Amino acid sequence: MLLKFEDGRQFAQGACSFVYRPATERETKHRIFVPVQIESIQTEAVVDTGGVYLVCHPEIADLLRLDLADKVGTDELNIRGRKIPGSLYRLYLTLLAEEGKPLTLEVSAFVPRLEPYETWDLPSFMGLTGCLEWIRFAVDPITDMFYFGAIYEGS
Amino acid sequence: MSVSTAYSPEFEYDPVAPPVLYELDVEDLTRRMRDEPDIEAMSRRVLDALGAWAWQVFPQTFGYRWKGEDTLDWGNLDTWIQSKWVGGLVQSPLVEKSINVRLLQYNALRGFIVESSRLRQLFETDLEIAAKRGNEAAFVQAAERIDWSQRPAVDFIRAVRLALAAGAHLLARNLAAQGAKLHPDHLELCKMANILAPPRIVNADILATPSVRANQAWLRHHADEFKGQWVALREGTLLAAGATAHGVWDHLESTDGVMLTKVF
Repeated sequence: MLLKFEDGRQFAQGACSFVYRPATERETKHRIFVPVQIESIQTEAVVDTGGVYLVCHPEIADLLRLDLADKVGTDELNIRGRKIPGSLYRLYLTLLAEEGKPLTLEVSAFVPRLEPYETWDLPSFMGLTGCLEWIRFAVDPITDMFYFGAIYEGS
Repeated sequence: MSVSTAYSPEFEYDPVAPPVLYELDVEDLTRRMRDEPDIEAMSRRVLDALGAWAWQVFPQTFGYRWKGEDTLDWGNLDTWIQSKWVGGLVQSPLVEKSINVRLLQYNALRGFIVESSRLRQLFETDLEIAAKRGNEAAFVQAAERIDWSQRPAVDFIRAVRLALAAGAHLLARNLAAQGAKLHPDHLELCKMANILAPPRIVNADILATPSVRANQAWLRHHADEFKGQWVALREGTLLAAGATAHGVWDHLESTDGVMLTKVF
């Protein structure tokens, strides 16, 4: 059942179940993994309200064959105190729905640049600034459901 | 760049070095000043070229003075170097261009150097320091002290890059937007503004995907068995697993409705 305000307006337009597990092999803290579609590829992304942008796993970005001309190259991006080289793109991100309607957003996406000998040991992340900042979302830890809804003008 | 440091009074300048001076033209330089993302690198190249001239003429001048043949005024070394440089350009037998074009090249280069110097003065101070230290608060404070209303596009581009490096992401967005509004014809700046703009809701006509629930259930129950691997799932069924996303993706007969994720 989707969430609603007292006056009947919808809080959420869609919902999906999430998986609650650590984001890396070394981590012990659990994170909320939500099913998403980045451009044309269905994958998972962690909800990271302290983060910025959609941080897209470099291997997913590689499969997407992003247009290299359509990026802002950065020497490095400071993400939560960690300086990471990479590029910024504008990508489509869809929050997939088991109930209700999926929600597609055009977001700022950061793709880390790896050296040939490097691997990216983190999943994709959905930060607040540049990604989740203009949607409503809520988490039900009892049913492991993630609710989301667009904020339209006037709502 | 080949630079002769030997005293050679026969030649007032080395016709080969620095080659960058002879190959530039005004249109190219103007375009690069506008679009070149790595303005610092180009600035260094130009200053290297000037430095090469200075290094080359230095022993020659002392040689002339030693021989009593020097008639140059040492009052303003910069002007003197530039005069020598223009002389070199004008006399160069390697370039089939009019003197006016060469002087225009010179003026464009000089303008570029002045612009670079101004940029350096602007950014090597508070903004650069704050960005290098990753100090977001100091960066925002430094940016607030600058009057951005008259700044050229290159200043905004540099400032946005520094803001990103400093972790001042909202400021980066605002500067890009302000810069694009001030310079709507500047492609790089407009691209920056678009990429950093707030998220936009897209009215995509996508239906609910109930199969997602089955994939999530599979991950919940089997993730531990595939730690560190990429897995491809469709409607709760494992299609492939492997060490790389490419390896798994390429293994699939069809990618329709497939979820690809790395299990941690």
